[in-house]
Amino acid sequence: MIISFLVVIALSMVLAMRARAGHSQQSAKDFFVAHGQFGAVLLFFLSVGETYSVLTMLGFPGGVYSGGQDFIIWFFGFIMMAPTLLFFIGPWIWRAGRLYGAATIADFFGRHFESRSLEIFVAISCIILLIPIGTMQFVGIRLVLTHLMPGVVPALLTSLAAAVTLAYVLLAGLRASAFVAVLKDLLMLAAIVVVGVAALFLSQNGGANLPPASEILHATGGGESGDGAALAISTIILQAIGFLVIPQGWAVLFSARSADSIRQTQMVAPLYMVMFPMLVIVAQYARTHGIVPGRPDFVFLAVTEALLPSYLTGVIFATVTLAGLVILSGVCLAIAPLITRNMVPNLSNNRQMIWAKVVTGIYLVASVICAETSTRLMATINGLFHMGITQLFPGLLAALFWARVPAKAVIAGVLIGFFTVGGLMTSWSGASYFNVGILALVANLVGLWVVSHVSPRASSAQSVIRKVACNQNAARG
Amino acid sequence: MLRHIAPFRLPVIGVAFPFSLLCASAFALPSDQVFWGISFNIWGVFLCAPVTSLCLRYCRSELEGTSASLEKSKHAPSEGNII
Repeated sequence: MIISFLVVIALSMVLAMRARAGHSQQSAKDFFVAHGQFGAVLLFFLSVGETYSVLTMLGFPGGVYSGGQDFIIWFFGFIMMAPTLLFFIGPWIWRAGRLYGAATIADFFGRHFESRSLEIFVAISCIILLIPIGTMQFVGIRLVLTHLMPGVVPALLTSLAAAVTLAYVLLAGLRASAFVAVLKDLLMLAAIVVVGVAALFLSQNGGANLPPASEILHATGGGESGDGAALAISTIILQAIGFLVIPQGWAVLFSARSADSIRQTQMVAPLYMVMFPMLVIVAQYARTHGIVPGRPDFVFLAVTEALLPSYLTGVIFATVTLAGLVILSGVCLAIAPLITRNMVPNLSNNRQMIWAKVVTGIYLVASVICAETSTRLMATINGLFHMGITQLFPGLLAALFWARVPAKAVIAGVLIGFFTVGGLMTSWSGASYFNVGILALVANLVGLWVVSHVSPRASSAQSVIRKVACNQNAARG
Repeated sequence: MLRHIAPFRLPVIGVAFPFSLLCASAFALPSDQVFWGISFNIWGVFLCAPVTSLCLRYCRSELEGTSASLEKSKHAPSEGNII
């Protein structure tokens, strides 16, 4: 099992080295966003790689095992709806990136609104919200590695995982992430289909004896379908919107060769979701065949161990680990430029790259330490991630459509959104029935509108769409 | 202003229709009937994904050719098709 695990990880390293071929002298922009050269195929794998994390392979079947229908609906729903929004808005983010020479979300906000304060504000907000993602990935990776190598100190195992991630980033930046994502995405789909099909056909009557998800729900004390409808629908909307403004997602968009390659990618993305029925079958197989994992999140791996030969189990454990490592490298490549380009401006090309590598190392070490010591705090912050990051969405809308919204209105809106989320989460009992992030977005929009009316931007200001159209007309002569 | 992103009918087909279908499948289909261990409403939710892909495919065919002159990167060649 360990040998097959190591073979897959070694293969990922070979791919990361292969990504470097022809790009040994990288510029900062090449390092962070591959100089916008990725076509639809590579962009698809990178996009899917940044979407499906350890949470998908461990958390989703774990949630089905211990949760129920509403969990399936919102988890599947927001991942399905995100590509529909990215299909329409993504190309405009890409065009704005070209227009402003942006490599990060903070570049975009700072340059469009011509405000250094807003650039720093967005960079700090993104960094704070991205920090726990690394910790949560390491928590998932630790779960896998400690089971694979029970005699080894967990901190050593997560440190080795951090070293592999650092190697990806140092070898070729986003190119390495993209190449490893190809391996991870293909293995992930194959692994889930293999385990799902095995569970289906090894269960008596070809799966006919498996109970519906609703029965699992009743057995585990979850809410009935319908009771959580408002929460499920509001969460789907909020998290799908969140995908439009997550910083690592912008790096993927900026790496695209053309706007149409983004559309092609998002058009195909929902088909990758074929894995979800298999994950539900796996979770239900565990419930009906007496497989009791140590914790719900381990249910997929427990079924894998029960059904598949040892060498295949090793491959699947490696796939779950890769899922975490790809996300980690993506987050590192999102955080590093936020610091080296936006927080500390005017660094030369070489110094940006050097400091990006240093920041990556520090981030990984901090995440390993947090995974060992502050999991609960990080889980809480991680839970706030989508509600918090989504507060940048009104600012994005303003940049695209409303020319006279000033930077201070965007900052005011985001702050109002943050405080509304915090206030409602702690004091409103309805938070368990409706996603407070949506209410915070409304408050954010109202704040943005009021400040824009009190102190609008100069009438000569243009929206992104208008600027792109003007450039297009100028190019046509 | 939305018309600048796409003709009005395309976001309806590409976003509103898949979302409505998702909600209808999740909350209107029966949850007590089962096939392969998965209740009908969850199957309905799962089947929304390929339908969404088809809707986006239609939208892309309608959008093809827009702003093509600005969309090509100055940096060649593409790496997307080397794998």
